[in-house]
Amino acid sequence: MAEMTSRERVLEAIEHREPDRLPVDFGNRCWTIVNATPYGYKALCEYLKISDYPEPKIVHLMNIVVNVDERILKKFNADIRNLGSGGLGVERLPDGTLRDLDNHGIIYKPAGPYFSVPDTLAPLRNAISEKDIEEYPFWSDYRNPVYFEGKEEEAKYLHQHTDYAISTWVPNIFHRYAFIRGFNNFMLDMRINVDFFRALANRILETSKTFVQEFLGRVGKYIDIVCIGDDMGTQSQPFMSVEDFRKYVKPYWAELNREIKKYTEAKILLHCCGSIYPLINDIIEVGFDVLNPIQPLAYQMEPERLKRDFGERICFLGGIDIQRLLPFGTPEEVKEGVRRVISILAPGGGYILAPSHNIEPETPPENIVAMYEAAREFGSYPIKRSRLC
Amino acid sequence: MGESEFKQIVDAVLVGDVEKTKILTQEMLNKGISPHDVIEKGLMEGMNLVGDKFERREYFLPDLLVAAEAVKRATEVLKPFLKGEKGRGTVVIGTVSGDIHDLGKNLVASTLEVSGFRVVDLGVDVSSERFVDSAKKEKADIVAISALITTTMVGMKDVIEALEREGIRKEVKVMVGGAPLDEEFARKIGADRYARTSRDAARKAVELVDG
Repeated sequence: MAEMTSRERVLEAIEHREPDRLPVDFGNRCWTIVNATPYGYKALCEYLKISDYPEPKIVHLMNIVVNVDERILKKFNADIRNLGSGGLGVERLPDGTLRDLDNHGIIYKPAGPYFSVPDTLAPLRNAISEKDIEEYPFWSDYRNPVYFEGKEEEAKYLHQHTDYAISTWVPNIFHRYAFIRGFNNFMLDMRINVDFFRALANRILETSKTFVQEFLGRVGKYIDIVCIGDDMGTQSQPFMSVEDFRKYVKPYWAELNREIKKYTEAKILLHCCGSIYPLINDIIEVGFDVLNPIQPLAYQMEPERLKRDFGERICFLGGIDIQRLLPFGTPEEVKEGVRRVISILAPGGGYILAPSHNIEPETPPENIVAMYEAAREFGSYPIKRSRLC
Repeated sequence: MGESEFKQIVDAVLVGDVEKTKILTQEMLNKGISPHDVIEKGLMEGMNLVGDKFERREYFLPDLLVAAEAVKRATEVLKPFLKGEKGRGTVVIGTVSGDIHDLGKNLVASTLEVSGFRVVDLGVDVSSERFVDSAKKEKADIVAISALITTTMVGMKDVIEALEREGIRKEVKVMVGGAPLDEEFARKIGADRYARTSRDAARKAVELVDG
């Protein structure tokens, strides 16, 4: 088969057709690398003998690098490039916490290599009425040109002058609900403050829709994948029952997707961590084309099960375990693990290989390199189908 | 007082009916039922069933948290009735430095409270110094430390060492818990007890104060 461009390769996979070889990705917001010791981004650069990399651009919450050096992306054959939005950044408060001005004033507190978002600092933790929601002073206004200025030109350039599939991220709804209101309240509001829940979820949804109108309204025609990151799972089960999910989450996602589709023909990716097997049918139903991150050690998230039950209806992006295999395996074990996942998920298309979340600081750089080498080694189509459970 | 009266309050906790749990608690106290029976045969029994359902994945986080909320509000109704009684003791509780995962810690705190302990909750990301200061100030019988991640659980040892340095290790018992821990780890760092679940924590806290 003639060699495809990265963009063709990615879109073929999402359409469940076999491209020339398995598409892969690295360096995007939920499948990049943490900037912390003992290894992390700097160790990866050193290992690859790159010393003049640009100053790492960090997303505070997860302490991740979102401008991974282009030489690394090329070496790993990454097929996607991300278009970030502009923003106001964070405000450093006197007590050492940070206020995220682009995400409705969520408060981050330094905690080890990461930042935490404690319930005790959630800005709307004590709110009780719709009035409290409206009077909250830190709602981000995505009509501010700072979010989209220059982005149309940048998107057009990436589309016309590179062969990569272009992704971008749209602000989520419930992740931010949990951070603005506190996680416990997020869970409790569904049970004891239903009217308040709907009012706050709607208010956040409206901001996401404004972002879509302003940002995708300008860049939508150049974008191939629109991503939303809205977690719904722990390691062992979804946050809530399927019934609650259908009542309290699904309608909001459906509405956001309808809005996105007004402004772009791009595929839509949902990043949704953890054990979410019981929700996947509904996720497909509301129009998501790609599911990320596929954490194979989470309950019922084995690649075999997912490929068997949903493989023809949704494309998977992720799947290479960051919890044990990448940090604690040998390079040989990593290669074997990658080969195995490819043999399960790749046949027939519908798979883009990436780590199952951001690569943790305990992961030796040689394992990261081994992962992408194996992706190239075992990723040429046709790929023999592994027996599914 | 038949068992059916307890069944009602157990069911109210089980379905997370906050108002009904409060009302039933008040009614039972008015009828002269001992607050300890309301706690043990009613609220705790309800929470135990909720915990079982959660472990079997029949219940999810909202179910667990709303039941805990019902118990917490009922405990407020109970408090005046417990006044004057000698409580079981004081527990200072928090998540270890660097760790902000407090779901488990909150459940343990509520469970200890309904088990008759006075609970001083220091919240998340608590330094060794704060554990020590609070243990002194509150005259704590037990210091309870929680951690969810492997990189922070090692900090539990620092808390125990700080208690030793300040010369109060003999006066307070230390109980530890959290997903990555086990008995062996607890023993290794010199803790007095490891608790796997909130129920386990309540049982072991009673053991610790009763000697």
